[in-house]
Amino acid sequence: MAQTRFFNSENQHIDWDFKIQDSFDVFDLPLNYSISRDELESQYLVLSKATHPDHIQEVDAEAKTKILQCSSQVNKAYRELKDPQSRAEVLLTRLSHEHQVKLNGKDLPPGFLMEILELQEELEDLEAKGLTEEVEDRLEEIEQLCESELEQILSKVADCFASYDKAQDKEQLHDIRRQLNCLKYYQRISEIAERLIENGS
Amino acid sequence: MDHENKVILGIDLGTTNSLGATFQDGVPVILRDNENEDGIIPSVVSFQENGVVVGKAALESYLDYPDTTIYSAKRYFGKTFEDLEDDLKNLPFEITGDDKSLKFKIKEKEFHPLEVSSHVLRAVKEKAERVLNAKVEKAVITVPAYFDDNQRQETRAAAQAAGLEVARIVNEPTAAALAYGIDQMKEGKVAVYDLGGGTFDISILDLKDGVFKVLSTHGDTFLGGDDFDQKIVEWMIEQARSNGQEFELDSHLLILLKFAAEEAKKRLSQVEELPLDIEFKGRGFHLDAVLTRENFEKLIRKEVRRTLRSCKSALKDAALKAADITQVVLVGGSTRIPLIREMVKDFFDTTPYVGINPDEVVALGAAVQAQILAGGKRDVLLLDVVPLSLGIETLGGAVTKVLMNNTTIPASHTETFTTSVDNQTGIVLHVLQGERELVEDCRSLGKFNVKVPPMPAGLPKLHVTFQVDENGMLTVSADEERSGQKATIEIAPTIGLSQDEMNRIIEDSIENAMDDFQLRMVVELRNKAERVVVATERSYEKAYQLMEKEEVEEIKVWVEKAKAALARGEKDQEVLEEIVEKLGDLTRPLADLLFNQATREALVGKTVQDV
Repeated sequence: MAQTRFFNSENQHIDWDFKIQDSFDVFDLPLNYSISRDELESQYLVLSKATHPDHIQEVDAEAKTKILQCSSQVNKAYRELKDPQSRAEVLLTRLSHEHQVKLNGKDLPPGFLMEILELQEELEDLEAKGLTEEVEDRLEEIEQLCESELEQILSKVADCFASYDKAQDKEQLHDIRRQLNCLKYYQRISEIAERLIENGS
Repeated sequence: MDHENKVILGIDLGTTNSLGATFQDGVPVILRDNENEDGIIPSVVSFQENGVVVGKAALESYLDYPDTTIYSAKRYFGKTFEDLEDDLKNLPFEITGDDKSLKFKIKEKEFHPLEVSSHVLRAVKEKAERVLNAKVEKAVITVPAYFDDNQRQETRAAAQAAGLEVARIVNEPTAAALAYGIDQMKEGKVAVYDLGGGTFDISILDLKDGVFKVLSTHGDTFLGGDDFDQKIVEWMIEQARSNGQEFELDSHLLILLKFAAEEAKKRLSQVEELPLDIEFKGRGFHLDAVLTRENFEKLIRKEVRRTLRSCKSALKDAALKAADITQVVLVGGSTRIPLIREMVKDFFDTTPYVGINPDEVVALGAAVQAQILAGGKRDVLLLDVVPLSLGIETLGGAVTKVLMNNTTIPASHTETFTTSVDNQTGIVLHVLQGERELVEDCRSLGKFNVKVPPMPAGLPKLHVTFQVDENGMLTVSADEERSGQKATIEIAPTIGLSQDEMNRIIEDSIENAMDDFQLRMVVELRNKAERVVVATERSYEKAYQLMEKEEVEEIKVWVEKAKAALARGEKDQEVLEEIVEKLGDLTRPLADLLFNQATREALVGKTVQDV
């Protein structure tokens, strides 16, 4: 594995005091949205073996705390980078911080809220009807709709990050923020639909 | 590297049976007193006039102490009386408690479940010391993966009370995967289906490059073989009553039915139907019926379906489909039931792996983890997860999750909270565990108060950090950004046990450890001598048929010696040992025959005298 700034794979040395800014630092990855899952995975295994408390015979309490924090950090970084949505969030935070762009966490594309409101109303109607086969089919449809929307949003986000890499147009960051803000709404709708199906059956 | 070369024991503290194992010459092995012994210590603790008797000896003297013998104490870990009220029917021992506690009531004394289990752990420790001829002070102890923080803390406390330092609490299915992985060394996605005496777990792991990464886990800490036995007991009672019989359900009858049910359950894994003829003279109980496998399967099908729902959840959490699973490993005695094998096979569409004894695999895995911790095995690493989400109570009795279930440990996460009322001077942090959204549906792990300087609502910034260490133990700390106020708590057991009580149990156990041990050995030897005497005297007639006259005469001499020793209340361990050993040797040819008869008779409910 490539050597990172806090882990030297040659001599298995870890710089326990290295100041880690975010998950990209832990794996020493370039600030790109697209990453190789396989590479992330294999780096994670190597780093885990190097930092996990099970593999380190340490009795000093202070050193133990550091090891615990470090291995927690490795686990968190892996968790965040593996998942496309949280990876986008981490990267966006980092880029906006480095380029001093202030983003609005509530910003949404025009007309988006109306769409969501309609879905929400439909869910309320469906709940009132009780779970017939027809209702269940529709709920499943809504779940699928949310899923495909999520996929589309993430692919848009990937495109925005790619074009930001080329041109550094700050507007792209605002656009990414808006897209990511939408995700939460679809997730919520999908959760409600799922719960209605579960409660009904 | 400088680490002491001390034994770390691997212990499977099971609901029904417990086992110890250690790593020897590159492989984990079960500790056995001799090679013919199965190494199992039944998790049964009998409180008798002369002391506490544990394991096989407790089982053997069960009929004499039906109401002071506790089995399956582990089921009651982290539970309150209120939690289980509906499940406490038809048990031969008495349970008391309220909405905060649960205790076993034995004569006039009350015992916490962890106190009972500590006797089992001590027995495992003593066995290990005997077999290894070395002192054992540290252990890796397994728990069901779906155990919550309270249940883990109580397991830890039980070990402490048994004089063991806990090197690690490991999840049972994860331990099983370790043993399996070491044995097979295949890579891929493995599902461990673990159905024991009292608990069910499903864990899905990814094995790669020597790393055993748990992807997800799910389960039910109150579902196991005990429930199947109970179903059969209920069926037996119903059958007997349907014949118009009237009888009282006392401890004695219940325990005999439980034994018969357990035996019937086991037999039905081999045979299609089982005639049952169980009679208790003088109690008006007589059951003459046939239990078919089909009928038994009907009794338990609902429970088995429940386990498959857990499997579904685990797959979903791991973002996998059943077809992605390369291997299914079966763990726990209950997985010998054909219906379970069949349903698991259908669910995952692959034939489960049964190459390692399902009773031993967890203890073997614990020994592997012990070896890793001792620094002797660096090619393997276990990455386990938080089984249940951890969170904080927020406005309106809702729970905000701070660490989600299935997060790899060690794990830490910080969330920022604020006040909802102007000039609030403190924030109560209520720490909860569970998947549900409301406080009342989750398990409370503790509450603590953080002071904040009076400020308008919404202004204070309280950073709350959850840190779960490699043992799965949670520490919650909080600091307020503006004032620098800090507070930390380590989550401690809260179920029906104050810290004082806990200290008392540990102190008692340490003080009495030596006395207890000596006394227990003597009590066990005496019980053993008594049993051999009774059994031998009963079979003189058979002995004359089967053995030379001189041999029988010699047996008689030793039987008399034994009776004399028992009559005078012999306390000398060596004297008793000699008698038991000699009698054992002399009567061995008869033992098999007698044992077979005894178990057969127990099943049809006749006493040995009637033979």
